[in-house]
Amino acid sequence: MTQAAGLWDQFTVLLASPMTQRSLLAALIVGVAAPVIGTYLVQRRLSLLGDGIGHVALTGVAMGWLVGAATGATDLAAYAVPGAMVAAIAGAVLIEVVRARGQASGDVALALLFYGGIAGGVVIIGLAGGTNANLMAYLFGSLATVSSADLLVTVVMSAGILAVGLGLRTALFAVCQDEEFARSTGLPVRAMTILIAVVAALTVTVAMRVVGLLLVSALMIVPVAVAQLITSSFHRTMVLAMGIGALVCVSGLTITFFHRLAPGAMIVVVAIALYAVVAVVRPLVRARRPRPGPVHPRVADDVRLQPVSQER
Amino acid sequence: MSAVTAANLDVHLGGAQILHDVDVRINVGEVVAVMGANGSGKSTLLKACLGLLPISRGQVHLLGRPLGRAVPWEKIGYVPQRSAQPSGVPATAEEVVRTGLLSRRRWWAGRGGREATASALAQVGLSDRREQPWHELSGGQQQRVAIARALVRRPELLLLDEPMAGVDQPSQEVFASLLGRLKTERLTTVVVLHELGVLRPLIDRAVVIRGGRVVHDGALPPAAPFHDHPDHDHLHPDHGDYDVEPEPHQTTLP
Ligand SMILES: Nc1ncnc2c1ncn2[C@@H]1O[C@H](COP(=O)(O)OP(=O)(O)O)[C@@H](O)[C@H]1O
Ligand SMILES: [Mg+2]
Repeated sequence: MTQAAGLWDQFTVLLASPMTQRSLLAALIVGVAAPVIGTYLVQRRLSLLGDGIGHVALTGVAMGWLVGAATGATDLAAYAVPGAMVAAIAGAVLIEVVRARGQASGDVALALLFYGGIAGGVVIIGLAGGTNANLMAYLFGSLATVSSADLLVTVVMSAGILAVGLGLRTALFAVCQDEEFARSTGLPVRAMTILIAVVAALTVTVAMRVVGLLLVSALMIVPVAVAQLITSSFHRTMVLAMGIGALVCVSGLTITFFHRLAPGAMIVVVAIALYAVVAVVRPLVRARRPRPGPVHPRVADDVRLQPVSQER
Repeated sequence: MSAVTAANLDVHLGGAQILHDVDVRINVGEVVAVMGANGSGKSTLLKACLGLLPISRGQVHLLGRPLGRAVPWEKIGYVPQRSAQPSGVPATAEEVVRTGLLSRRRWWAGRGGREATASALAQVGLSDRREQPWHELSGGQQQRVAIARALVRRPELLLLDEPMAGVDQPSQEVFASLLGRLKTERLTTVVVLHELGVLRPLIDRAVVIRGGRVVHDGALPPAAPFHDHPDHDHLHPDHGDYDVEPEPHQTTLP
């Protein structure tokens, strides 16, 4: 009891610190925004796209670093986030174009991006006079050092992600659900798949701060995976995934206030633990809740059974 | 006016020529069956007419406009050949049907979308399945959802690719009476079929494709002698033979 009270006191003290407030706010916002685009990626069976983009973004971070060094910037990291954003968008659009043209299988294209992105990042950061340690913050997140400017960037980008992802949800859903039918309706399907890729790239860039590039995709995908265990509609899956994203980000980060653990990794561990719990509990809950309406429609039978012969 | 005109159409896929010099003309208000063995190019023809596949030679006009932006896509409904593809995220029948309201300029279902989807689902007899996840529906029900998705557009031209494949007899009859009603409203329908079955009385004309060429355009193939046999197909998928030798290619339309 006293221990719990002690923890609470500790927490309120932490909450009073603007640093903690900023990191909690950033985690909350990203937690809400990331699963929006994740829902479309899961629907298109492109769950690994976020990983591919994340790896490319690492090269972008290093290139930003290189630009910083070349221009003699005082803060070498100043160009890291813009670099990541440019590389992520370029990589995402490239994947989409390659996939649509069917030149290489999407699978191989993703693999090339994975390897090229990491290797390019490490080589270029070396050229820029940095070390692999400089990349660590981007690989695993750096929630502890969110500045007001960082928070503003996070808010603006997340607002853009939400505006596109929620505002165009019927059209984007149509494109992800049945691309061929969507094309037959006259919807600009190519433009929309590229839009999804670009918004995914923006999501990777904002989420980089929270969980790091290596785990960015988890924040987009795992809440959706949890939500779709429970829901039966696309819309509800998306809304629930946003809630789950916010929940795991805030709770994962809060845990690290009390134990010195990496916030990004903790958030992903919480999300996956939640998935495991829901996956185990769901069959128990589902079994007790019968579906509304008759299972079999009341229609005439179309099998005419032969009367069974009585002889022999 | 013709609803669909395909002239001298050649289509190549993966380096192979799939359609050879196909000429098809479908008039407004007509109900035309496209028939032929598996792999003869029926789906390819439909997709090429919809601009979903590249055309190597020839022209297609839909509702009087050359394929492209000029086509009034919002007046065209397409029911793709069913391929059991479980989607990554669950979606309800209603959500799937609602996507049928979209078009080049319309990116939102908008006001009245709910009523429109409800009435389209009612037309295919699935009012009670609105909230059910699409992947939990039977094959026949999924097919009816796809038909509702095309009908919610209130199309003037409907293209259906094997809407009867794997659909139970009652669903087929629901669909046949629906098509009959739409025919009285002068809906132009192109339907890919293996067997005319319950749709026979509604169909004005049959186009038969074999090996990517139109080999017959005109009267319906007669019902085969063993029509009642459940396993019987009018067109044998294995060798693509026609039960009764088709009439010579008819170039003039009735
Ligand atoms: N993307 C593709 N690449 C290469 N060949 C294809 C492709 N799609 C279809 N085909 C071939 O084109 C032929 C016609 O296919 P299709 O139009 O689907 O036939 P049908 O609908 O009449 O059964 C088949 O031999 C098929 O193998
Ligand atoms: Mg086919």
